Amino acid sequence: MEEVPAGTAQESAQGARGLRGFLRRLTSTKAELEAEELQKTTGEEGATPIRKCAARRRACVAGTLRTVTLRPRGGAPALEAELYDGSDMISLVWLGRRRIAGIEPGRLVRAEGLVSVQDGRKVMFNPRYELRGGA
Amino acid sequence: MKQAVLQLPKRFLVGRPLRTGQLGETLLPKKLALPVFCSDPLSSVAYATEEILLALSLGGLAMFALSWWVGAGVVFLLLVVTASYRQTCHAYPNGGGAYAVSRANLGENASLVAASALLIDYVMTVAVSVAAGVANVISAFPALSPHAVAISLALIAVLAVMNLRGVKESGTAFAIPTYGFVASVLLMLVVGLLRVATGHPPTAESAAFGVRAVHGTAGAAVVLLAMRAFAQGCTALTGVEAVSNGVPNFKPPKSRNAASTLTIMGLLAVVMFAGITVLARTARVHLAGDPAQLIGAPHGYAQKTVIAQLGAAVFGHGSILFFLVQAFTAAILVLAANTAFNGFPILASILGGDGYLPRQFARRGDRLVFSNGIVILSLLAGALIWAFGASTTRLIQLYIIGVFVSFTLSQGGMVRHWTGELRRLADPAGRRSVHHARAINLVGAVLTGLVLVIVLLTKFMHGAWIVVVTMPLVFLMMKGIQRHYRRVAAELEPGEEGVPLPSRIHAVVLVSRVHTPTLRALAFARATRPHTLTALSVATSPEEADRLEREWAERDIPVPLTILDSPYRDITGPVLDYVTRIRTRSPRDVVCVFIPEYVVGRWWEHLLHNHSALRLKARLLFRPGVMMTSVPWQLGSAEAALARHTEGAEFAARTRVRSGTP
Repeated sequence: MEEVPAGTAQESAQGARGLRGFLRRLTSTKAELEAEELQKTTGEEGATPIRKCAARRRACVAGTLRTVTLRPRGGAPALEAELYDGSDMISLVWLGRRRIAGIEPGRLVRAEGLVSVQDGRKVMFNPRYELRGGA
Repeated sequence: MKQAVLQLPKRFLVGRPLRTGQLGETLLPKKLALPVFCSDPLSSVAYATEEILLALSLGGLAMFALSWWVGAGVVFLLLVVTASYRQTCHAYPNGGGAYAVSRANLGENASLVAASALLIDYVMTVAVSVAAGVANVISAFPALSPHAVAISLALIAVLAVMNLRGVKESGTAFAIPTYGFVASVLLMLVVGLLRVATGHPPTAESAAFGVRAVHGTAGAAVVLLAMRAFAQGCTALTGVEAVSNGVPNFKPPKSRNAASTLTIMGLLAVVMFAGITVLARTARVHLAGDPAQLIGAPHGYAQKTVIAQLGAAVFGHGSILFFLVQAFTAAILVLAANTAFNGFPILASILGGDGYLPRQFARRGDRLVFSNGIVILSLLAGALIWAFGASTTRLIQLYIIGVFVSFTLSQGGMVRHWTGELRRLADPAGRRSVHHARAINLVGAVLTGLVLVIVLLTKFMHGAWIVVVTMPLVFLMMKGIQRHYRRVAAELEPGEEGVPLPSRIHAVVLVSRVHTPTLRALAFARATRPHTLTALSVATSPEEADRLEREWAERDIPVPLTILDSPYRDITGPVLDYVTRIRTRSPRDVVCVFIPEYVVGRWWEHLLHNHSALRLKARLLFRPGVMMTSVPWQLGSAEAALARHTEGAEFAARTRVRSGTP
């Protein structure tokens, strides 16, 4: 379940035909398989791979929600989720919300917003989001 | 309950555990030391003559005439080895086993060769002695012969249990059979020789049988046969080193007493061995390795041991004295096995302490004996007996090599030791005595080395190769174990500046549902005041995640709840992934994972609980910088199990009151 560097996943996406591709499909780990599938959706949604998103630019990303964190009452209300699209991870933060129906782990989501970088992690605040399909 | 059930038979067999303070040293006077340490060499007299005759029988009846010469050779060797070991007693008053002597004088590798030879040898001592003892029992009661293996294994088990109880080598227990054996054999010899002198020589039951030759008897073949017989007869020398090992257990003056005990032992062994050989010859005891070689034996004739045949010939078959001789012989043979039960665990404990064997061997058990060594020894000996069908003749082929390897090494070590002394000493009187001692040890070393070669040559094809293969394996194993211990020790050695303080602690509490164990784990985690605290759950199904979320909000738990997606429905993977991500983000930080766990009271409940927690724990162990904290929750059945222990009942009642659970 490690994140897979984009390069290898793309290579495997391209070389999925022939005997070599067959062998690779047999030997690849679950993580590689998942990354490959997710990258395919990125293309279908017409979104930018997260790895290619630069800071301080608007971007449209698509992938599944890896984690959803519920903050306890008391502090500033915020809902945080991590979106993974097979190339990288980005945190989506909705300030002022404690819960959004449909934002749950495993959900396929398309999000659009300004990408910023905090402590080397990509974050998107209050993104515009679309829930796509099932989990 | 479970504990009590397991403990009951152990208590019954092994007895109450002893406190460390109860470890006492009892010093032995000579008259008790002789039976304690010399039962092994004295007992080998019981089968040495027989083995010589068996080897000679291959050449047919005429070859038995050689038994005189072979016997004389063995007697000479016995005298030389005894004299050599007397020197060791004086030089190493703290116990000079082959391992200690060669470690001090010949270096690590030689000492390990000696140690592996000795370890193998102790196992062989048990196997051979027990097998020989059982053979004597069977000679007295031939009906038992189909059960030889079972009887041998039972005897080994009895010996193991006795030693686990820790029979404090109580002299009397040893003294009666040893002195009984010596007295009865000497009586048998005297009566037998008197009858020879008065013209009524005793005649063995097998005197009339012929022996068909299956081995060439021309020229070199005779020499080969004689050498083989000699090699077999050298079993009479086994166990001589026991005295030099046990010098610290003697009453002072230790070295003097040990040396004189050795002398007495040597003389007794020589007299008994020579007497039995002479008597066996005059009584015309005829034996054959294969009963089919015997000519003229009645159908279904079972061969008896030499001692049994002599006893029957001298005292008359079925007489009380005959059974007495048999009983004492069997007893001393079993006692000789016990010598190995003293030697093996101690050697193993020394090796364990030096890091050549697993450390557990150096630890004393409940009864202050080295239990692990005793258990291993009896298992190995039992396996040998089982594999060789409790046959003394086949087992003995493996036996002597180890003895002579350790003899040669320890004598060689002694020569080095005296040479070193010579360099140090200046006064002529001292130098003369050291020269004298060195000469004795040199003769001993050369002779035992020579015998080792003879034994190897003559026995290699008859099974000795097993030992020749095993010894290097044991040696390599010990080297490997030591290398491992050294490497681990070097790895664990703290550096100059010690260990850096972790900069932050990230606490992660694993949550599956909102219930009391979870809440308790959360409360505990909050009380440890980590820098960050997250409750972690894995969503294996959306419904469950939803329910958890709702309950979390309802209970208003002041800890953020992170729910992980698990696209492939496993729990371990996403958690490991999450923990690894925290680590890569901040490598100097430490992640502390709190795992709520059920403690169950019945064995089958284990099947129903804790599986994902256990799996996760096993995987997390391999991650650096991840600490795990189990937060146990004692289920009702566990408390009931605790209450079933009488000593636990009060405790359980108290904790129940304190924790406020009904």
